[in-house]
Amino acid sequence: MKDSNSYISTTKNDLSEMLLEIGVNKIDDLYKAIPQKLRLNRDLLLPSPLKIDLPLSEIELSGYMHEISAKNKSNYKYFLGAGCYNHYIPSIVDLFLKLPKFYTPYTPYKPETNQGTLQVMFEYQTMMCRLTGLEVSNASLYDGATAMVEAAKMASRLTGRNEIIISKSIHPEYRQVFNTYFRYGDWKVIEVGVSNGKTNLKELEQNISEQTAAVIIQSPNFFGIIEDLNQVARMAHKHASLFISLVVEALSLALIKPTDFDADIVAGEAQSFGSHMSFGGPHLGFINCYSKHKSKLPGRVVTKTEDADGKTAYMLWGAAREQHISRNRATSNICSNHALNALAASIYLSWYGNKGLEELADLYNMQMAHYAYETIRKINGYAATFTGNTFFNEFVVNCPHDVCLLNKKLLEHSIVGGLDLGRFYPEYKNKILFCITEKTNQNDIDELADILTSLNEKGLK
Amino acid sequence: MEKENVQLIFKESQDGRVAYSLPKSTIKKKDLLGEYKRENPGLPQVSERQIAGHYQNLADLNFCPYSEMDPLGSCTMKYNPPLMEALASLPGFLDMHPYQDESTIQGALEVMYFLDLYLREVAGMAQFTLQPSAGAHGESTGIMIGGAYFTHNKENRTKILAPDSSHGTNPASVTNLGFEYEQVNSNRQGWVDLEDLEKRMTENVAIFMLTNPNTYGLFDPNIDKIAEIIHRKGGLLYYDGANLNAIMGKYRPGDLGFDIVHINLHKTFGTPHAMGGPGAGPTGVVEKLKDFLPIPTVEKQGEKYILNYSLKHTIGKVKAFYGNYSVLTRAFAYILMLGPEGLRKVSETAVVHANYMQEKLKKRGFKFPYGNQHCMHECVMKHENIDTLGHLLSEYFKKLQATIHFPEPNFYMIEPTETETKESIDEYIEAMVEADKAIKDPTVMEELEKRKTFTPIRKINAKKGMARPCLIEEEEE
Repeated sequence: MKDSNSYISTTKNDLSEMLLEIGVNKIDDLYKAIPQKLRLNRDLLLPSPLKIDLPLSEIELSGYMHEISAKNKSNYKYFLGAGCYNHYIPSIVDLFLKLPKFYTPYTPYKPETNQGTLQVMFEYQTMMCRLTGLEVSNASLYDGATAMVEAAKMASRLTGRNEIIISKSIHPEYRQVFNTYFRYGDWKVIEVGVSNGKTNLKELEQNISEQTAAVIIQSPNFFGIIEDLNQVARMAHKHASLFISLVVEALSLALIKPTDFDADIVAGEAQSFGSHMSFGGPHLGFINCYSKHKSKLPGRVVTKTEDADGKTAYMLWGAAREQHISRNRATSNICSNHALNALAASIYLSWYGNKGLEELADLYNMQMAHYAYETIRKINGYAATFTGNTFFNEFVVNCPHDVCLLNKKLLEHSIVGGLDLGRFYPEYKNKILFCITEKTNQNDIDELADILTSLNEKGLK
Repeated sequence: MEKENVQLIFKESQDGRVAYSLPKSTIKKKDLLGEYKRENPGLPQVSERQIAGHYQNLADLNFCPYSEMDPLGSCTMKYNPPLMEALASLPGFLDMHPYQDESTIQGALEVMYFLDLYLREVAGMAQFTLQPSAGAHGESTGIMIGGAYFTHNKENRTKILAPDSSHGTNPASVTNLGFEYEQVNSNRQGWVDLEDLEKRMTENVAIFMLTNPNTYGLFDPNIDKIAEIIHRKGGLLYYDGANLNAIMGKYRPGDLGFDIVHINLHKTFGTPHAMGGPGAGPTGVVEKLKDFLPIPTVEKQGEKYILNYSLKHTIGKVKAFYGNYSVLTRAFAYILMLGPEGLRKVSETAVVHANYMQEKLKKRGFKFPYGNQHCMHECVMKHENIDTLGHLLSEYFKKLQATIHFPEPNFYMIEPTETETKESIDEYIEAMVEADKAIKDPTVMEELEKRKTFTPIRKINAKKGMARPCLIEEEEE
C-alpha cells in the first residue's frame, strides 16, 4: 500500500509524543493563529495526468515518467546550436553530480562544514580566469542572459553612467531578457545593427559617447562569427567605457582569449562545459573581471585563506556585496546560483585539460564546422549568407526552401536541422544557422548534405 | 600537521597525463585563426583516475544533509529523494534542445503544463511562469510584472515596501530594479506594525512584499487587515514563498489576498540545494496580472501542448529559453509522488517538528523571544554567544549549524523539516544543551576541547580572508 508521504519518518506514536510535549491535542491547534475563514478546509485539487489518482507509488511514477520522457525524442543528430550546445559529456561528470555530498548541501556560508564546495568553487574560478585571461570570477550565475544583465549593471556602477550599447548580433533571447530588465530604472539601451553578419562598427562608433557605461559584443556572435574585438575595445576605451565581451559558446575560449582583445569584463554562458542541454536549463552563467573591479562584481566569490591553525582553508569573500548582508545596497539580489553546473564545468575542464580542450574546440568543432560549411554551400540554393568572416562552430547559409518545412522533413531522417533565422530576424527569412559539434562527425555531415541534395530534386512535398 | 586537506588539482598536473579521449580525426587541419589564436590556457593535465580521487576527496570534506539534520532556518533543507534524481536524468529530459520541433517535446511540455496547474492550486493563483531560476529571480520577475501593470494603468508608483524582518533578497530585488525601498517596522509580537504600514502605504507604493509565516516563523494573524490596507490604496501584495513549507493544503496565499507569489522549488518541493543551486523560483499571479507574465507560457490546444508567445502585456523574458527544466521535472515528480494528502502532511509535520523543538529547548533553558506563540515550520532562539554555539555544534558534535544572526542579531533560526526523525531532532537538542553548558562553564569547555573534532578545518580566519583576498590560484611560471 502506498503511504501518502513515504518521505516522512515521523510515526503516529512520534506525533502524539511531540504534541504532548508541545501541550496541544491536535495538529490544527498549531494553526490557530490563522483566521478560520482564510483556511483551505478541503483537500488540494491536483488532477492526475494518468488514469490513477495521486499519490503515485514509486513504480507507477517511474513508469509514467519513462513514458513521457520517451515522448521527447532526443536520439537525433543535432545540427542545432543557437545558444544551447550538444556537446558530449564525459561519464565522470554525471557521476560526481550525483554524489549526495555535492548535490544536497546548502550554499557554503559556514566554511568549516563546506570545505569541499568551497575548494571546488575556487578551482572553478581559477579555470575560468585562465580561459578568459581575467583575474576574478564569480562562482556562477543563472545563465548567460542574466549574466549579461548583471555585467551591464556592474559596468554602470563602475563608471557611474547609465547608457549601454548592445549589438544586434547578440543572441535574440539574451537581448529580450536584457530589454525586459532595463525597462526598470533610469537606463538608455542602444542597439547597434549588423552588416554582413557582424556588428556594424561605424554605427557603433557613432553611438559611443561619454555617457556609455559599456559596449556589449557577443563573439562568436549569434551567427557563429568572430567579431572584430580589437576595434570594439579601442572604440569603447576611447570614451572610458567598458568593453564587455559576451561569450555564449564557451568552448571558443579554448582558441580565443577575450583579454587578447582588451576585454574589461567577460560574461556569458558556460553550458558547453559539462552541462546537458536539458531543454534550456539549468545552464551556467558567469562573469569574470579584473581585480580592481571586484567590489562591484555580483554573485558569490570564494577566497583562499587559513584556519585558526594556519592550515589552508577556503571561505566566501566579500559578503558586503551580497543581499543577506547589505540588503537594498547589495550589488545584486543573487542568492541561489548554479554551483552544481560550476562543479560540472570544473570536472569537464579537468577531463579535457590543456591539450584536450584545444583539440576538441579546433578539430572537432571549428575545423569540422568549416568542412560542413564548404560541403553544404556547394549544394544548389545553399550559398553562404555572409562571406569573408571567420566563424567558430556555427554558420549561416541561404535555404532554397521554407526552413520550417525543411526541418520537418529532416526530422523524418532523425536529424534536427539548423535554426530558422527568420524566427528571430525577419530580414533573414529562409536562412539557416547550422551548428557542428564533436557529436556530429564527417559521415553525419555528408549524410545531411546528401539528404539536402535529394530534397532539392524531390522537393519537400 | 598537513598544510591542506586536498591539494589543488593544478598541483597534480603533469605533462603527458590525459583523461580525455576523442575519435580519430578525419579531416585536414587548416590554420583558421592565424594570430587570433591564443596561447595555452593552463588547465590541469591530469588522468581520469586523479580526477576521480580529487573530487571524491573534496566531496568528503562537506558535511552532508543526507547524514546530518540540516536545520538551516528559512532554507527548508529537506530530504531530496533519489527517485527524482533518477527521473530527471532520463535522456528524454536531459538531452533535449529547447528549439526542437514542438512535436518532439510533448513530454517536456506536459511536465510544465501540469506543474503550473499544481502550483496554481497550492498557491491559489491564476497562472505561473516557470522561467525564474531562483527565489530572488522570482522576486525580480514579480516586481517587473507589478511595475508593468502600473505602467499599463498609467500609474507612477516608485516605491516598494517590505518588513524589517524580510529576507535580504527582498530589498535587494527592489533597488536593483530601480524602485525605491522602504522598510516597514515589525511590532513586539514579530508581526507587521499595522500603524507603520498604514502610514507608509501611499499611492506611490507599488508593492508590499511579505512572507507569511514570516522570518520569525510566525503566522501574522493580521493578514486580512494588511491586504485591506494595501489594496485600498491600489497596491499589490507580494508573497515571498520561502516559507511555503508550513502551509501546503492548510491555507493559500491567494485566499489571503496576495496578488503575486514566488515559490522556491528547491525548498518546498524537495529539489536539491546543490551547494547553492540550481534551484527554481516559479512565480504566480492573480487573474488581472496574467497577461503580464513572461513568455512563453505552456498551454494545451486540443491534445497538443504548445508554447504560447502571444501574451498581450508580457514583460518579455527573464531568462533564455524556458526555465531550469530539470529542476521543474524533479518538483513535478515530487508532487505526483505525494498528492494532496502527502503535501498537507509535509506542512503539518514540519510545523509539529518546529514546535516540538521550540518547546523542548524552552524547557531546557533556551530563550525564545517569540516563544509565547506557537511557531510555524521554524522557530527563533536568542543566544548571546551564538557564533560559538554554532561552531561547537559543528566541530565537536558533527551537527550542521542553523541560520545565525537572522532575522535579528544573536538569533538562531531553526527549521527541522518534516523529513527528519524524532531521534535526530532529540539528538540535536542534546547537542545544543551540551554546547551551551560548555559556553557557560570553562571546565566543561576544556573537556570538550579535548574531544575529537569533526570539521576538516578549525575555525576559519575570516579576518584574514576578507582583508587579503586570494580569489584564484596564480599560474606557476
